[in-house]
Amino acid sequence: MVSTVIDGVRTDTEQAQELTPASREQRAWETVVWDDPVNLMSYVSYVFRSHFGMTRERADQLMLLVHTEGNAVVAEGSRSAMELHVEAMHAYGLWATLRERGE
Amino acid sequence: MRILAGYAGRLTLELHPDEAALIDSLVGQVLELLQSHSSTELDPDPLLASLEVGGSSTPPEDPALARLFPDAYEDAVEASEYRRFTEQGLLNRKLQDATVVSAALSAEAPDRASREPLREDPDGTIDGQRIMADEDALPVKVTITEASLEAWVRTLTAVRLALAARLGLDSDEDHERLEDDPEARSTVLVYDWLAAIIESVLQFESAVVEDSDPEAL
Repeated sequence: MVSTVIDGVRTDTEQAQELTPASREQRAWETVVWDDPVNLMSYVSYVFRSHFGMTRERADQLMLLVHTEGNAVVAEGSRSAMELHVEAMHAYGLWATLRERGE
Repeated sequence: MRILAGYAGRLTLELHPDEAALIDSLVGQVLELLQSHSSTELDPDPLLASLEVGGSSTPPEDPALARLFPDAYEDAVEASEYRRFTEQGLLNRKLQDATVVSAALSAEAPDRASREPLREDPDGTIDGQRIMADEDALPVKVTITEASLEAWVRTLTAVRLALAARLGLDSDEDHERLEDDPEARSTVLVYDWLAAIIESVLQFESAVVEDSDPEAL
């Protein structure tokens, strides 16, 4: 179910705290795409190519990571940039969240 | 259903009239579902509509809508804040996509009175009832262009997400179980059939991409 997959993911800010505030804001957030039983593997790969401009190899690699690991980080950057990516993923019907970088 | 390649990245989706009617009906249901959740009229300007600020602060109660508008943050407070600002714009974009598909299907839907040929009865007289055997039905040909392909695959995906939510399909095991459930079986077949259409359209799309830009890959 939706909520159980999200549970268990916690951010660890220790690493991020070593960075200066400015660079933290630049790279401290990430976009995560989660596996779901509805979206086709070919479609997820298409979305990554189409939205992020990834090569087929990179898109397939991340798509497989989503499928086998349950989720994958598909982008890193500022919070506002990641919010836009998440919104774009939702427009495609993918299940995505953003979070602060951590382990 | 079959897909025919055309020029300049176009493809033609050839559907039996019943198949076209089924997709049209499902897309119509998604449009209604989206409109039921919308707080404003859709701005005719696509850019303004997609940038519209607004939305509710809690996830939709309807499971299909909840799946179409998932939380962006694990934290409930942040998710709620984000939703208040982005949900209406996202909803408008989904409405626009579904409208593209719906309009394409309506434009090509057979006008039965004019397109169905009169048939001869075995004794040579014309059958004025215009009743056709299914296999004689003229296919509905819908053109998908490079510009509309995204709207098509997004909308067919939205229909599948809504069907999955209605079926309670949350895992691969659910799919196997529902296939054997006599009440759910026909819906599961439609759900799988839509997957096959998306798959075919995307296969075509990647062939076009690879043809047109061999250097990039």
